[in-house]
Order: sequence, then structure tokens, then C-alpha cells
Amino acid sequence: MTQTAFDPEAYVDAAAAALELPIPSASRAAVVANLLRLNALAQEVLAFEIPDDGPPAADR
Amino acid sequence: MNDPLRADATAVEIAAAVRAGAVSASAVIEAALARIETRNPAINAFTAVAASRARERALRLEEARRAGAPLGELAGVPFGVKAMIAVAGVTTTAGSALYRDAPAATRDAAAVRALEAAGAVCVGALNMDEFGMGGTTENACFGPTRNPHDLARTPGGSSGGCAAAVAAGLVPLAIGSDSLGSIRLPASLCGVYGLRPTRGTISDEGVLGAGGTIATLGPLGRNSTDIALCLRALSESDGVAVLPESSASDVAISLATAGGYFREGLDADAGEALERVAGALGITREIEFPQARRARAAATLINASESATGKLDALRTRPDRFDPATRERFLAHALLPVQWYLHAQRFRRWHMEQVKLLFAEIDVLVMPAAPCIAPPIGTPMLRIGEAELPTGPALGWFTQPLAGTDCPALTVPVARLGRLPIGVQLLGPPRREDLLLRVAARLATLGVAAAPIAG
Repeated sequence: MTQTAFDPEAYVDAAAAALELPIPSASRAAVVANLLRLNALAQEVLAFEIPDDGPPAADR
Repeated sequence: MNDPLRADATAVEIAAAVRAGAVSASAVIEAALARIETRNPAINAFTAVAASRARERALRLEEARRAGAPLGELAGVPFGVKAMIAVAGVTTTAGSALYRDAPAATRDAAAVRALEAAGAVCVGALNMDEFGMGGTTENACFGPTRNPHDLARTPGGSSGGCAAAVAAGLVPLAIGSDSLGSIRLPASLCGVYGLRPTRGTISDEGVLGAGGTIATLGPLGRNSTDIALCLRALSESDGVAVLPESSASDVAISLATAGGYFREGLDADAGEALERVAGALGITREIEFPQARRARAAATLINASESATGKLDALRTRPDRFDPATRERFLAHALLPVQWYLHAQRFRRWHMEQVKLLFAEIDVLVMPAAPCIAPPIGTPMLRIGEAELPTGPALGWFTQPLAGTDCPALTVPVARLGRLPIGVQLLGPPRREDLLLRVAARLATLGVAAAPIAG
């Protein structure tokens, strides 16, 4: 898996603040772990260059 | 014909007997309610039993019969629904403490209306992982559902109550829902048939938490004909013309097994089940399901992002009411960047086109349904090849890559006398459920597929 600069701790703080979603302190470690797991999946998908994914030229 | 009051009576047998007047709908429903009363405490499949409603409905069927009215293809057939599907008179909980004390539903979900329009009788709601987020039906609020083949083991999930109820013979049919494998996985672990139909075939009106782009309702049962009848009744609710044929006809169906990803990470039981099926069907061809790992990743991301929809207020104000097994997952899902989701959807559209190309070459792809038999309840992690994964995602290893495709997929239970169940998964092109059901019927005729009553 490609190593990325994703920092789940900082991300949780920023995103939770933006959504006004308090993360209970007892849940924080598990939320971070979940985001790390999902980040690994996201990197797998993002790493794939989707060939020609636009609509047909006539529709553009 | 089998006694329609027995636990192993099929939906077809029950409906034929009720239509012919050989047995009353009330007798069938009383027998089902008695089985639930006797066996459900140990299995915990039903979280609500709609006894008076079911009795009333049975009486109406008897009146209709006396009046000479047509009774429908599923006359008198008892069924249960996953607890996210609205049943008038029952609280729709989706397995969550957040809804446990909510008022009862006042209207049936479209799927319940459709099955009852075909003569079937809803007898209650079935346990699930909270909001479908899990693969083991270990629910803190309603208790874990137990696998009727071995009460120490999980039935799988998230439609674990559906699979357990059908496997135990409490009801011949149940309606579950499948996002990443929530019908196909528990069907494998409980040894029953479970169909994820083409997305869009069954209305999700009246389903708590509906609206995602991955999930679909679908039937679980103990033979392919019952599944076909149930699908036909459910499809009609939306006016969709899916007419599956379940007879083991001689129509040539080209088959292949899936290689690569789908040949790795199986244990001995899963490998043996796949080989038996491939051998019985004379499959010699193996082809690659495109980009399986990425398809799994994309479907998981899409499902995670969509799962948080509508839960923000509850996560802000009542996080303690969520199941400990799902709370942190929903909190994390609510925070996911939208670009991850959108890229996963782009990948999904591209991937669907690749899968369609595959079905220009073959009709049905045969693959494992689960990497192993049911693990004990409380198993935190499972090993898939080199990877150590939380049990739910690990059990869904082979169902998740198909979830974004909109293709129908059917779990077929492999006959394993005296051993714990495991199934294989059949994948076909959109709207060709008939192909999957034909292959399943052929496997049953060959004695390779069977769904015996547990216990």
C-alpha cells in the first residue's frame, strides 16, 4: 500500500469541527483506526487511473 | 407432497396445499408461530412476532378461499422481514436502540405489501446488525442471533436473523437486504439460498435507512423455486418484468469459475465447496473478475459514506444510543471526504462496464460466497491469506467486490451432511436472475446443493 501523508488525528479534528460533530473521547481511538482503514481503501481506488470515464463527446 | 405444517415444507408446498384447501392458512400460521415460540428463544432470530396480525391475515385468506377468490402464488406462506423493513403494527428498529421505543409503523413497506398481495403472511421482524453495519448480527440492544446449526457460532450478517430463521425452519422465506453481502454471507454461513437481485428490481419504499446506491432487498429461502416465486412477487411491486424460471432445464448456460482474488484466501471448507460445484457442473474455464480488490475497496467506501446519511443529528446528540459495535464506525463514516466517495463512484461506473464485457463471454460466474464456515460468536479478527481483518469485513471478502456492479448474485448452499454449512456464489448479468436460479436448481438435482433444516 502506498504511504500517504494522511494524518488521521489531524483529519478527525478538522472534519469533526467542520461538521460540528463532537467525537466522544472514549471513541476517538477507534474512529481514528476506522479512518486509517478506510484511507487504505481510498488510496487503492485513487491510485487507479480510470480510462476514459467522461461522457461521449457529443454530450459534453 | 410434504406435510405443509412441517418445518421443512417449502413455500410451493404450503401455497399449493392452502389453495387446494388441504390445509387452512390459519393452521399453517399457527404451526409457524408455535415453531417460533419453541425455537426462537435459543436462536434469537425474530425480534418482534406479529402474531395477531398474521392470524387476522390468515383468516382473511380463508374467507377469500370460501368466496372463491384467487389466493395468490404464495397463499398462506409465512415470512419474516429484516427489522429495517416496515410492518404495520411493529416498530421498525433497524436493530438500533435509537428506534427501539419508536411508535409502531402504520403502513407496510412496499415489499411486505407485494408478498402479502401474493398471499404470503408476515409473521414478524428479524434481527440484524445495527443499521446493517456488520457481518455477524451481534446486536447489543436485541442480543446476538445464533446460528441454528451451532448455537455458539454467528449466523453471519447483517441479515443474520433472516438466514437463521429460514435455516431453522421457523419460516420458509424471509426478506433481507444486501449492501456488501448482507444476504449472501449469512445465507452461506446458515446453509440457505440468498439472492441479491439486480438493483432496482425490488422497491425500497418503507425501508429504514434506504436510499443508498449499493443496497437492495432480496429473498432468502431453502430452495430455488421458493426464491423465484418470492422474487416474482416482489418484482411486481415495481412493475418490473423479471420472470425467473427455476426448472432445471436443458438450456445451455456457459459457466466459469473466477480466478485470482477469488482463488486466494479460501480455507479448506470453502475450497472444497467450490471444487464440488465446479466439478458437478463440469466447469473447465476460469476467468478473471476485473479489479476485484479495487472493486471491494470502492464498494466499501461508497457504502461507508452513504451509511452515515441521516445519522448526523443522532451522532451529535445521542452517540451513546448507538451499538458499541457500530458507533465509532458511523462517526468515522460521517467524516469521510466526499472526493473519496465520488472517485469510488467513478471507479464503479467504469468497473460495471468491464463486468458487462465479461458477461459477453459467459453467462454465470461461480465464486466462493464466504472464506470459511461460521466462526464462533465474539471472534474479533479473521485471517484472509496474509491479512488480519475484523471479522465482518473478512467474512464479506468475496461478496464485497460484487456489491457495486448492480448484477444479481445468488448464494447456493452446498450439501454437507453432518458438517457446518458453506455456500458458493453465482453471479450473472443484470436482470438474468433466471440463469442463476437454473444453475442452482441443477445443483440441487445433482445433490450438490441442499438446505436441510438445522437442529
